[in-house]
Amino acid sequence: MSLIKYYSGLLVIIILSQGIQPLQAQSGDAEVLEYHKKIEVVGTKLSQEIEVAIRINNREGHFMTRVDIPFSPSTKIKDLTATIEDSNGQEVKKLKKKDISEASSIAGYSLYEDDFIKSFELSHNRYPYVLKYSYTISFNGFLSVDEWTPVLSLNTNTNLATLTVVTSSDFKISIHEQNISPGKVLKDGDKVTYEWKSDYVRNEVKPEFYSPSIKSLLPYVSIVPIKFEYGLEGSFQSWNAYGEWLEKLSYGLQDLPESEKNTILELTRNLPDRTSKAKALYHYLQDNVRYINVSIGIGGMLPYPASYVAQNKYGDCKALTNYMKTLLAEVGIESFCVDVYAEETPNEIIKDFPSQQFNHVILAVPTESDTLWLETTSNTNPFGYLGTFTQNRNALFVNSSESKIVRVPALTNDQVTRKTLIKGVINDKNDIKAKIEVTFKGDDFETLLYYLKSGMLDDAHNYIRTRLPYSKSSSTITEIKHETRDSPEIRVIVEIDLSDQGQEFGDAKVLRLPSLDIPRFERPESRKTPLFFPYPIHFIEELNYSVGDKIKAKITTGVDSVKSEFGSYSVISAQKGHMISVKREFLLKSGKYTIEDYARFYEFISTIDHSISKTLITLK
Amino acid sequence: MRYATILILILFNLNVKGQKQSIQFGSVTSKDFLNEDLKKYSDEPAVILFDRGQARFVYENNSFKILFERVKRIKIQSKAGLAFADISIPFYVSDSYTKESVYDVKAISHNLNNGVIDKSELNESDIFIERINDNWRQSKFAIPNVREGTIIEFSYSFLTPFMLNLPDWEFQNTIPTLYSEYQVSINPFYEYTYLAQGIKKFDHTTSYKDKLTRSFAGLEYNDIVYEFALKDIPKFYDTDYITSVNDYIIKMDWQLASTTQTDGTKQEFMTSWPQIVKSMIKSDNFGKYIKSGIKNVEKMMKKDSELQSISKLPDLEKAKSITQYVKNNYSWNNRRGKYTGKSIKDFLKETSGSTAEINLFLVAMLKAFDLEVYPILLSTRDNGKIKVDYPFDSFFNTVAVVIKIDNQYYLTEATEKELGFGKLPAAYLNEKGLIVDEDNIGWIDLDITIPSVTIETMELALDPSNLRLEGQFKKSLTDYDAIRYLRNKQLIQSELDNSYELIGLVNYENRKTPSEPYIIDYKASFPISTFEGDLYFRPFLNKAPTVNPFKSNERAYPVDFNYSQKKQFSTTVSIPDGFETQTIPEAVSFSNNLVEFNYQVFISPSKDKITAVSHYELKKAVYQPDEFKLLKSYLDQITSTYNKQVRITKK
Repeated sequence: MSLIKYYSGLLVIIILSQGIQPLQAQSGDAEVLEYHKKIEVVGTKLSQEIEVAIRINNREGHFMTRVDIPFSPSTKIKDLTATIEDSNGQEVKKLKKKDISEASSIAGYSLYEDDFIKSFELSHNRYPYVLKYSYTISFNGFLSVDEWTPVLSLNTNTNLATLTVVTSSDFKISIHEQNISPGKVLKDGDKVTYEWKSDYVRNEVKPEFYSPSIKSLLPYVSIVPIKFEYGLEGSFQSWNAYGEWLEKLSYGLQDLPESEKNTILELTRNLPDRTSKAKALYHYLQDNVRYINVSIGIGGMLPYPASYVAQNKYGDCKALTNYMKTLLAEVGIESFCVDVYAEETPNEIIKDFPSQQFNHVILAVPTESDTLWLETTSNTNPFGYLGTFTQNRNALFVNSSESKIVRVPALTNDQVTRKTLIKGVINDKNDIKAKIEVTFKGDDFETLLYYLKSGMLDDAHNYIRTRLPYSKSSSTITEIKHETRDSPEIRVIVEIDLSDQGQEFGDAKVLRLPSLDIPRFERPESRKTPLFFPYPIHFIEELNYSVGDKIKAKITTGVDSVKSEFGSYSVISAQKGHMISVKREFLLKSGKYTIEDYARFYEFISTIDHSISKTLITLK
Repeated sequence: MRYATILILILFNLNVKGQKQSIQFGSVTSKDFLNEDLKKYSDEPAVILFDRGQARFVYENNSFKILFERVKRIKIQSKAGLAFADISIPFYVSDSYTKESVYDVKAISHNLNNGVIDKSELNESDIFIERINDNWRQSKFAIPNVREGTIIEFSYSFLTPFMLNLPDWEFQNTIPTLYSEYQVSINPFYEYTYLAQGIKKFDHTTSYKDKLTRSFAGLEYNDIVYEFALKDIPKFYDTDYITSVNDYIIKMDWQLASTTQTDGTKQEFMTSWPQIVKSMIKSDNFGKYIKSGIKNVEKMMKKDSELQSISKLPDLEKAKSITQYVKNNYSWNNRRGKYTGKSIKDFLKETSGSTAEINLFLVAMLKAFDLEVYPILLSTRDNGKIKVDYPFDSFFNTVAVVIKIDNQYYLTEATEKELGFGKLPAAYLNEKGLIVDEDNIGWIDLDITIPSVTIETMELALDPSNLRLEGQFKKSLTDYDAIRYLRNKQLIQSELDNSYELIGLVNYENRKTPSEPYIIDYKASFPISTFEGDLYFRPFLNKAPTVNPFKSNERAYPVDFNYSQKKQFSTTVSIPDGFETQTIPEAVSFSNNLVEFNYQVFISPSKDKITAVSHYELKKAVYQPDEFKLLKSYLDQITSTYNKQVRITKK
């Protein structure tokens, strides 16, 4: 999808891959012995000195010998050196210039970005050995002094890491500290030195089911200048000051060719209200313009003008949002850019720390009664649909000096419900057929719509199959229906052969209820991270079996109800003549829970699992 | 296998056949939007209307170069097709003098608005060059003003000094192609051969003498022009479980056969397998690398006592120890190649290298120890199959080693540290490899018939009060199965799902050599079922498969498991006092050339123990489509047997 490229000193690169977990040594396959970063700010210039020493303990630690240094044309990397010392401290290898390679670093969603990576790999074959490297990197113009964490890789210890920032005493900064002891401040004449010290024990943080963003769990320091000059002068004194700067950046970019003006006036001439006009224009945008991300230099922050989009019929999120805002303005509708951190599991915006924390922008359109939210980078999204990518989070509403943090609305239970209807015929123990009708909404809907509209039909089928009850039985998808372009749901009809379902106990066969489509959560003793459900999970299921004359069927213990702070589960069943029916509902509320809550959450899920295992249909 | 391949040496004239098509770049008429041929493709995201490549030689800066000009026209039919309007053209840069280039890029979109065609052109400033790595670049651009229904076209020139790389041509794409044509003009100084894959006959093909007379070094000559065209080419379906798209897509590969100097001297470029072998042996980056490797090993032997003691071993032990020595001391840098990229000196100093650098060093070492050994050239599975009838060295992408001891051949290599002597990485199991032996040109079968084995052993006790089986579990893995679990410690975690309750930790045994099985063991309990008062469980719990992975009744492509596999299960369950075994599943056993299966459950004479043993073996790495039905039905029998339960009652 579409993200603003933003410039933040040095990107924090953390190796998320688990690699192979070491089993014996406490120190692990590799360990960061020391990681020092020293930053000096002089006027609009910022320079960083980085020094790292990593001990590689065995072959599995090899992955830490590859070093990537991000840079862009406006930054300079100097004095890059690297050496290897053997276990006696003897230098045995040295990095040569020809061993350093350079490559573009372009995100998958972008056509082009002027970001690059310098990388090298320096390793040895006698363990343990120490890789030492250092370099300096300097920037001219910056929105962030640094975003720092002592962690280089989630499954590698960092024994000692320091961050030192030196500025002149009149250079005002704003600091956010998280999971770290507060930094020290030393004043010496007209210089101020800030210092942080930290470490990290490997696998203290790891991605688990429904973890919050990994960044929020790490020791982390973010520092921004109160006043900055990046294209234009601006300030992080307050959110409205930052909003004002953003507004200024896009000043004068709302220009449209006359022909375009006529087209959109024509399109909206006979429409009665803001909503219907906005809808017509949104469809016009979706049908004529496509998302292409190109970001060069300050272009990471600066949108292309509306006229550029009108001419090329493409642009990135900033350009498309600015263009949509311009179209709306042309027909007299006021709208506002809203900067967000877009991701299903977002980095929460730190409210008391005005800074560039966003990676995406959407458009808010106040209507007569409500606010419409438009995602301008999608040419398939239903009109006004806010998906899992941007829902339920704080965002910056950009309105010049009135700019402020607002809450983007959350997906409700109804907006995410997966409704499944199973109509089956049990002719014999080994002859069970059913028709399943599923209505997909929320995340399911978004994924399916993406597959369908990108021509990835096989992926759509796979996705549907894995979400069916009894997903392992053989099935044929007979219909996939997306009613209109603006309907937020997709209906699917599937024929399924359930004859291979059930378990034989002597002469009897027992059918169970399908298990819930949720992950197998970690046991509490091995869980490391808190829980975060960004939106609710809601299933409604109805099973109706008609039983043939050849056999007898009986349903047992088909009524139960489980309720907790996390959500609820209920099942009721009935048997009337040849008909057996079961209705059940499962709800997991959106929310955040601490690691201390996890045992209770696991208990809740286990109780439901237990309840499911008690409901049996016996065939004899 | 469905490719029909033909080879024509370009020495003969082709007969004129069929009509060729032409377009004028930039001129699209309303008729093009209403093309009748598009109707049957209305569900496709986009259709290629016209695609033409023209390759010819140009003389520039004192050398010949290949100029390749491309014109392509595409109709975008749905939003899913918009991606076809984002173009990337890769090119190679060796250094600032020797490099390919892409220039004269033009792109236009045509939109039909109320019967009028609206044209938009790409601005030069909207073309970007991405640096993929130190050697590869790509020219990238997004064609402006594209929506559903737009016809786009683009053209570019591509200039390469690499005469070995006459561009190949793919007639087939992931969307249908209405017309595709490749034209190659060749001067008398170069001779090429080509391989056409998946083409029974061209819709248009001809060859003729170019009208223009050129001159070079005082010689006058005319190019010979060859044309090949296909009409209405269906889109390529990418299917699961095939080795590589390369093996199936409709295309034409070109290979330089020879060059002739103005003085008449001719240089041959690999026109037969013996030729390829000969030139590999002569090459600085192959044969000569081995030679200087031998000299270096001889020096190393004088200083290294480990090597000295190895030299005293019998031949087979020697071969094993040397292979292990190279694995222990040198690391693979994840690059594949058949030629070395650095000198033996640099390789020994850096102690890491590509497949060629490591395995040719292994050859050198084995030779220095007086063993009969040859390099093997092969193509990994993702790189496509070798076609024995077409001697092109460009098909090979890596090197392995064969050792002959007492008239026995042993395949080996040294980049995969987790495999024992005599085993090749799974990606290398791709039919056959070429033995690089000048005296004896031949092929060696790479497909390994010894299966990877997984053995699950369980010693359990029934605990009726908790409705669980508790005890010791042990998993023993060899070869590729072992590698899967070694590389991914999460695998065992996901296997031990929430049904298992671990008692203590999972123990991963450190094996001394990769020829030993890799063992994972743990203590755990597993739930059993109750039904009408009786206790039930499957003898192998959930370790043995109970669901057939194959659902459909037909299959068009082979089922490719990469390597053959054998799974073995054994369980003993002790039954406490007061309980007795009521029923056990019946024994099942069958064996044929596809699958072997055996399943037995016993009750001990003292009746306090149940023992179950079973194994199944998928004997082939690859099952042909006509074997699919049988394979599926055998797996049905196997999975339904594994589903059967033991029944225990209270006395």
